[in-house]
Amino acid sequence: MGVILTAKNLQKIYGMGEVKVEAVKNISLEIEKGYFYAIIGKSGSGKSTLLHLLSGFDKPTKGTVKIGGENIHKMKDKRLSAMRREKMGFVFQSYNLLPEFCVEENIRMPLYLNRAKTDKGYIRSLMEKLGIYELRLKFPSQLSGGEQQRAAIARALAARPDIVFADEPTGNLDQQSGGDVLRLLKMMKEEWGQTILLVTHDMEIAQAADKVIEIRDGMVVGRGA
Amino acid sequence: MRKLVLKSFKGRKREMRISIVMLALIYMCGIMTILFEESFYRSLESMRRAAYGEWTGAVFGAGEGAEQILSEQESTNQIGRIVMLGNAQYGEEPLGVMGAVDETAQSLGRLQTAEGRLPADSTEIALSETAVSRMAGQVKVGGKVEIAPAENGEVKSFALSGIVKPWGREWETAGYELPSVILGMDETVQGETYLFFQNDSPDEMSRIQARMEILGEGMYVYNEKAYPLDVSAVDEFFQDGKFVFYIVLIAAILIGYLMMLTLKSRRYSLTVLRGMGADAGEVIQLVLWESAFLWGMAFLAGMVLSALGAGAALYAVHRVVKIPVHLEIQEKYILEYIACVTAIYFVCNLAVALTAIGSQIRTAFKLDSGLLDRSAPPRLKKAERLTFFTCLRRKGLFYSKIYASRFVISVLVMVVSAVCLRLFIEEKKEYEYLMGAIEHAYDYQADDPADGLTDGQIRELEKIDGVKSVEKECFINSSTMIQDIMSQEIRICAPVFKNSGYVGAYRRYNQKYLGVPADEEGDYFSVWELRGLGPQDEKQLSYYETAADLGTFDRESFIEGEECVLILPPYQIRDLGAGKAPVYINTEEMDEGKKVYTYETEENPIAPGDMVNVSTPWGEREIRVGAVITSPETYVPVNASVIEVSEKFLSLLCGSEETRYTSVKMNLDEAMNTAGAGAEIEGYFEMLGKESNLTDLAGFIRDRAEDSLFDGTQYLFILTAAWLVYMLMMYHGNQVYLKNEGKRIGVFRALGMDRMMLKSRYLLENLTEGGAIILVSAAVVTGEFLIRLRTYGAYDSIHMFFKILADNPEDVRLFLLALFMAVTAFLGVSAVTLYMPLKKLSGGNIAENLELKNNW
Repeated sequence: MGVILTAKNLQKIYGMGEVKVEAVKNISLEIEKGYFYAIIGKSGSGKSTLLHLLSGFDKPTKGTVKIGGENIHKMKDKRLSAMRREKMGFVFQSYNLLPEFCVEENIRMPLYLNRAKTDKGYIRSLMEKLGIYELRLKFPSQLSGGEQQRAAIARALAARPDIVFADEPTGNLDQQSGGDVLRLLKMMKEEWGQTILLVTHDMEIAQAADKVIEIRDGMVVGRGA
Repeated sequence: MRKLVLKSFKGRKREMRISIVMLALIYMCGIMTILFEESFYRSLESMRRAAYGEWTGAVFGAGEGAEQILSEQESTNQIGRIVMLGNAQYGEEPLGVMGAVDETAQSLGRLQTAEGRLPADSTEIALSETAVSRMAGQVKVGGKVEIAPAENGEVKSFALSGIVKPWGREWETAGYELPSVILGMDETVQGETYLFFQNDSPDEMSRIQARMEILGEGMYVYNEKAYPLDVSAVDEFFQDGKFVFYIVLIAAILIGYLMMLTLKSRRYSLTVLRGMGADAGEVIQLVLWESAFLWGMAFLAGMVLSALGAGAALYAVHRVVKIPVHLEIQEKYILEYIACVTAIYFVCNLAVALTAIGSQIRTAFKLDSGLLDRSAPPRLKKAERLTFFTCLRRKGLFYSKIYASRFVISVLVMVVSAVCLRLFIEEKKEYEYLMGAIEHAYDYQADDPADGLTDGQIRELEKIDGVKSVEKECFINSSTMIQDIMSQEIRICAPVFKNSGYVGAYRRYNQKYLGVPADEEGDYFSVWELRGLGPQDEKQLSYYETAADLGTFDRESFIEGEECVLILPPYQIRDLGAGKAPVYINTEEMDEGKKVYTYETEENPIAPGDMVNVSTPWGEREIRVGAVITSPETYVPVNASVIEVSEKFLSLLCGSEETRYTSVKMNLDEAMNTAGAGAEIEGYFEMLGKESNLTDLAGFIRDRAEDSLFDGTQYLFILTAAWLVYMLMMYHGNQVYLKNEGKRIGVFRALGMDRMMLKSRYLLENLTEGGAIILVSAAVVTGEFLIRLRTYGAYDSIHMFFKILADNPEDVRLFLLALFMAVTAFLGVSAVTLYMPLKKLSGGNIAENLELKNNW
């Protein structure tokens, strides 16, 4: 298995003037392809910021993030967006489904943006595996939190990305739904071989991952399998 | 508590900014309106007083009682006095009236010197320019002049201190001439007294007038032109400050709107505070502190902006309508407005606090933008193919509230602004035209043929110094001279008209037009005006000689009232509704699909030599038909020209021995003393007892110009107010919308939509929405324009439609200009309040858009 993502000397400082917070301090790491990574840490430890930097949502104050050998923070917006469409998938704590589209339309949205032809069989099997096929014509406001999150996972996987970033995907869910989501993510990884990078503060969830990166005060304090 | 408020502000910067901006704009718009309206009114008032004098009233031939009544009034500011000393003579030459004028009267009457200065005491005199001209240049300022102060009186020697320009016309009143030989005032002068006074309260005038009438002293004249009593409802509305109530009402609605927009988020934070243990008192205290802080910032900004805004608006008025304007600050209205708005703002805030105190504390209380219409998501049979238009349609469906309100408000504002803009430009043009067309002339319109002027009277008018020419017309008009038109139409009867389709259609149509019951069986034409021609109308008489199709035109018989000319061209009737010309005879405009009425096709037409009977409310008379014109070369307004008769015939018809001219216009020579000539004309008509129908055209036109100016400014005001409120609503509404849209942008970008695509998508989305708004607004404005243009003629055919457009290029240009300006302003506001922020959001950070930032 090769390295899919490399981060070197990442630093992120928030704030202006006298009040400054160093959320990420000189972090370097390598993410190998096909593994389920969990980045764990307490609230305010800098784990979400690290995920934003690794996914290109936010720019680091210092350091580089390379995906497929290219520094994503040096990329032109067009190229980075294309990379997001083709190689990255995102799952958020608050689902972020578009409220005016039904489940299936939300799932097909990345393909529409990528002007890619919809593989109907794949989308259907994705929905069936995630248990939302029956809900495909429902709108987000008609779904429970767990159902919405499953739809969000399906959307993240629709374009068959190489890497899926998940920011506290179970944070808003009850234990049962959280467990389901986690199992689904793992199943997806097994089935389609995606790399999953999940941020959580829950050790139990982290135990489901292949590899764990522990963050404290903006620094990596532990790595394990 | 204060610290807590400040900390809370830091976390809600955008909300705070919106609230401050909106409240500041509410203060600004209201105060600006008060400043602008008051200043505009005062400016108009100054203009009026500059034209008609600053005195409020005058008492000619006043006694001591009159002076006492005036000085008793608290509102009386100044009383000026002129003591009349009779007619003065220089040798044998009459110089006009002599009088001593005090300084106040000089100043109120705006008496100005052409040379030298005004006299200081009764040993000095100043002469009017007319008086000096009568003295054939034998006097010099600074020299001595020998004048007999009264007719056949003892000659006295005076020092000539100066030469004065004519008195303002506003002073003149019938029978009370103002002095052209002016002495300085001192205790020694005695005589009939004229008092001129200025009073701050025109309301007091009626009381003063009543007391004067009881006293029976002199003649009281109120300067109505400078202090109009006949105020329109709009004038009254703005003058009495009632409008403050309405702008407070608008402000209250906007404050309510502001509160509604932030209610959810504020109730959320206040309920959270309650959950944390804050009691009701603390919540109220917090809200009041917060409101006080916001109010302070908004109030300061609003005051500064309103002063700047009012200044800019007045400057714009000054530049556009070219009137002198000055800033008038009505503290009372401004304070009333500030107090009301402030009270409403604090009461609303208190209401928010009480709502939060009263609401149940829940653990699952959520902050919600409230924009999404979730009540009934559509039922889908299958997922739709995603395209730009699918996305747009879905967004429109789910965010219908904000889209619909934006659409309706925008269309409304566009229509109002296009119409107001057009009306403003029209009024401005009318004002400029009228001010440029002020003619120094008097116009007399008689109410009855018997009240017309005779040739002898017209000759008398021509003799008046300063009268350049007199234009006269002899006509009778049953619609203007007679109130009860139903039974007073003018009929041109002949037995051969009985079965005529041509005459019948014409009659019925005119009767319908006049609101007279249509007579199906009649043997007459129904008209409402007959004009008499005289030898002076050479052009028209020559035309009849050449244009007669049947018979010959005998000029002599015509002038003598023995023969008439019938004008019976082909015509087509179009029903354009009341108030519009019903008949066209221009062959170019005729619609072949409709019946054309031609007298030549009549089986038994009238022939030269036949008699017709002319029956009018003023008399009845038969006349022989001399000639018939059935195909005039040019357009003739048929409804007024079925028959042409002479002045003499009209006089005989009305039972008058000599010709009486019912319309007379006296043109004054501007190079001469028009004021003097005007006074003489007025005096002459007063002597004839016909002064009530005499109009000073200069004053009349000036009044109309002022009306146009006022109306135009009101349209400008409505336009400005509409746009300010629109900008306010768009800014605020879009800020809330953008907060929601930021998250969508974050999602799209996370899914891989690049900035360029996002920006072009929003551009396309805004253009689609804007295009729809522009199209609908343009359709409404075009509809209004076409309905208005229809008054020029019916759209019977496409040819007629384009002809009407081609005939009225100025209206078309104005319509297009107004529409273009409204569209430009709309695009500007949309770009500033919607597209630019969207563009900025699209370029932002995804984490920020998704509100993930600081979620470490």
